[in-house]
Amino acid sequence: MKKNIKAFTLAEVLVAIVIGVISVAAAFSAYNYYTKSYESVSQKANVNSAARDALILITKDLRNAGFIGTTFLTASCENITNMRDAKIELASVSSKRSGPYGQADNLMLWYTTSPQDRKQVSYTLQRKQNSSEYYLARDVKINPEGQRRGGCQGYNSAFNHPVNNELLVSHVEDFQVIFKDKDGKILAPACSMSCGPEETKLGNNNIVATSYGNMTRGQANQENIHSADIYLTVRSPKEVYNSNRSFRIVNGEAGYGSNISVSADKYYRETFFASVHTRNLSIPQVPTTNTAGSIGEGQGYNK
Amino acid sequence: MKKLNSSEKGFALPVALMLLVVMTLMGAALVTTTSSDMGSNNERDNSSQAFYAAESGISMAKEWLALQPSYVPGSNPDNQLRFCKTSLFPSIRPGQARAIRNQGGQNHIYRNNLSALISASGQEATRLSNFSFEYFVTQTPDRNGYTSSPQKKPGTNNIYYTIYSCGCDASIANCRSQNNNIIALEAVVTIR
Repeated sequence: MKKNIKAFTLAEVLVAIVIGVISVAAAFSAYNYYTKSYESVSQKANVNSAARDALILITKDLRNAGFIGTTFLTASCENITNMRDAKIELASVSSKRSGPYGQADNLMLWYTTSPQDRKQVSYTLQRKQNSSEYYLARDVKINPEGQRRGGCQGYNSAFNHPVNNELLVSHVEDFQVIFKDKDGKILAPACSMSCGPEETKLGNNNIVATSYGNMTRGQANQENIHSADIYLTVRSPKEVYNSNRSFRIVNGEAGYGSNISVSADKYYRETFFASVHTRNLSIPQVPTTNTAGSIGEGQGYNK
Repeated sequence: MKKLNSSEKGFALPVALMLLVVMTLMGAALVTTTSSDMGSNNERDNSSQAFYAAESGISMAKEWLALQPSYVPGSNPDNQLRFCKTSLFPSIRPGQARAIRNQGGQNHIYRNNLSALISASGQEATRLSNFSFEYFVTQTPDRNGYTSSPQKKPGTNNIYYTIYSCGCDASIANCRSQNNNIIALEAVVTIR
């Protein structure tokens, strides 16, 4: 009896080892699973919050686009002879498109922020240095016309260019903006000066008679923009999936938006969408008898 | 025997405890990430709803303006305003807002919950009752921020008025500028 309880038998030891290995393996795989899912959840959360914050900023800028305060000093450095011609611009012509797949839009818009100041905001995809990654950049210039004029007193790149293509969202694969009129019809091109090839191909149809006189189609379109659809496709910074997955990014209406097929990889991608009423651009036809008209609604300013 | 037994105990228990602790921590981290993400999404949702509340204020103000026989500037409305304080609007010089009066000769300030404007029932009505707006109207301030003298649309005799409207993600009774999202909007109008 005493001899029996002195040690374990070989079988007992083997069984103990097997059970031990199995439980350690189970624990390890559970740990592994937790780390993986934590990693992927945090990657998705990062993508989400970065893109949503950016959309809030873009939305705000788009709502302000085209606003010219009633007290704006036209005799200031921003002496714009035709203030109507610089409200919003969407460079979606093929020669100006950017981004990793060459299909992203460049958005540019203007609004006044004080009697002396007019802001020019632009959103573009910029390539990171020594990398193939693109980021959504926001650029702000105060009174850019002064710069164009050169001799404008007091122009100073430190003051007039407070935001120089700063990173807003990293790992952006596509950025699309689609302008629509009040009936939901797509407006393209839209630009302040000349839209380039997009207009050239219109030939004689490019000249439009407006209340200001003849304008190019792109210039005339600016004032009819009622809403802007924004699409932003962001990729996770790190790999998330275990196996390769292929993606196709289709943002916006065919012919105006993008259609990108991405070669298979393990990254997580998400597209964020917002539709903004550009409240300072469009001139909806509102009944005039019992409503007060606001700027941008019926009888706007400076007309 | 006693020695052997105790060494076996000492191996399994700490490992099990450690794993338990690690897993609990990771689980907690996951929950925190998700819930903070959800929280910030909610926050954004509320602030965009507050924006629309402010827009409702602008529409209400336009409706009101269109019905007035005359537009007389009153006094600084700051003390009567709940949350749409004039300091939210940089175009007004502090203390220089002159709110347009109503027909009773008082500064016209209007505030309401969204639920009073939009008919809804159940959950939606509860949600709408937690958003409110407040507005006042002045003559459009000049470039120094004074609102006492009228600014006219170039080439016409039409006076510019500015509607100042704020949306809040709480009911008018509960909205506090320290705790709530307040979205301030302004719109310039002329009366036809």
